[in-house]
Amino acid sequence: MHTEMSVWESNKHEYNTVGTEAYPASCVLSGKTKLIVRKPDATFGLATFQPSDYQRRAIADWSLDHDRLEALLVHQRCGLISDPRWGDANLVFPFAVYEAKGWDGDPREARQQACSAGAVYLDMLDRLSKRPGTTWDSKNGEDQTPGSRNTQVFVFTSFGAHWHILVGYKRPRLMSEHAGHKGMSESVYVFQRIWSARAVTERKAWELLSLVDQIHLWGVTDHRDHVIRHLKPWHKFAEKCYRRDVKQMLGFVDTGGTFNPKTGLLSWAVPEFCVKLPEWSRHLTNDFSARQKHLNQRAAYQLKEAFVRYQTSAEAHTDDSTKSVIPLGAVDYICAIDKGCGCHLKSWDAFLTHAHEVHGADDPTVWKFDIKPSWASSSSTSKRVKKRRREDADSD
Amino acid sequence: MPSMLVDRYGADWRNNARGIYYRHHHSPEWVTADHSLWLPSLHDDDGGNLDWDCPGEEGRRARARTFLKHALDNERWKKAEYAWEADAWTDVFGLMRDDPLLAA
Repeated sequence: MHTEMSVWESNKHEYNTVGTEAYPASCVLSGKTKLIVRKPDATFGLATFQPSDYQRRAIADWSLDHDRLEALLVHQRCGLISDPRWGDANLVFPFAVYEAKGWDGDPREARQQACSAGAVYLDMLDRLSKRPGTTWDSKNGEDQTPGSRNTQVFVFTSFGAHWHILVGYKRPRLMSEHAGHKGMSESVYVFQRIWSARAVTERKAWELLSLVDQIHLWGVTDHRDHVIRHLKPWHKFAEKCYRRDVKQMLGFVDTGGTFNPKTGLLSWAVPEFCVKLPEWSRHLTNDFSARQKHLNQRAAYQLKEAFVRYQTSAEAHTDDSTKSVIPLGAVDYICAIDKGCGCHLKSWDAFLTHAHEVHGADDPTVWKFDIKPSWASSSSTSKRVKKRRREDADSD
Repeated sequence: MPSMLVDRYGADWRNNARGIYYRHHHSPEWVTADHSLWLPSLHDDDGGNLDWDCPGEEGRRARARTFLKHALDNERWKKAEYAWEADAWTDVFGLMRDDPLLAA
């Protein structure tokens, strides 16, 4: 039983948010913030997809691609959080949450916990609905369309056999709700109970299932369509951001990779100073060092992927007189630090040494990650990989 | 503020300061004019009650009977939160959990 319960607990989906502390006696906000980590009993969001899904599953939508959502998440200028567990992109844009209490629990606590989670999910939908930009809390963002603000979430709570269903939405605080007062939030999240009953008769149990099934249908139709529609401008924005990065960092990222014949893996490296995580990641403090490291590696991976995707067009668009131009297939690296010093360096190691000694880059360490090279086989980079392999063999 | 009141309602008041408000029932008056909410309903388009006797509802009624059996069993034996939660996960949210479009 205990093992079963611990497995059960580990399957619950965590959410993270920056919460504002409130004074215990006056109950108004103190202004101090802290990172909150909670796990509701159940969270219902949209599934994301991997490349293998597109061949065999008609439902797979590219806007909900795991790697594209991760690219949005880790780019400094986007920072769009789609999964309530910061750093993931597996369960995205939740539309319902469930908290349970047994007869010995406190039903008000279940409601408070579930509504707090619902408010976080409403914030995520609110940010999604804004025009893409860098303001991660969406305070200054404009709605993408007049209907963009029509976002909502559902909350289910049960206290023994007694069930409640709530609907919640977000809007600015009104004057009648002390808008502008110190210690009060700018937005409000109104949760209204739309159904409540003790499910101890077949009729009431059927009513609950009927409502849950309708919410399920709404989630996979209206809600999902809303999310996909509002993600498209974000993906376009991300593409522009990554293209700009590639252009600015030509000759700066190890696009060739190093092939390890023993493991059959390509090893990639991106200098640490190329990787800048968005604002929200600053709240992941010491307790989250493993997640910070993971995020840095994923941000480096996304940057490398952008290089593979956009390097050719970035090179073609770069003015020939610009110092940072590298001819396609060139082996040497041209330094782009400090707005492009233009030094030609013969190897990746020489580049790192140069970055450290000339530009004073404190830590010339790199984020390294290994990848199965299947994706690289048909791209233009494969030529460079093969060339690198030959060079490695020659030097040995 | 009297400490007894804070003990009883403090969590709700602190949530209010954070912007989280709870209403015991739904009213269009609590929804601002610029917001359109979708609500599930137990009524059909004509305003009558959904017919739970129609043949199309048999599958849902069978699920309801299973859910009810488990709920009554949990009540009889005064089972803890875990038992209620596990049954809800299967009997109430089973279809959502199995939907490939969703993650839970």
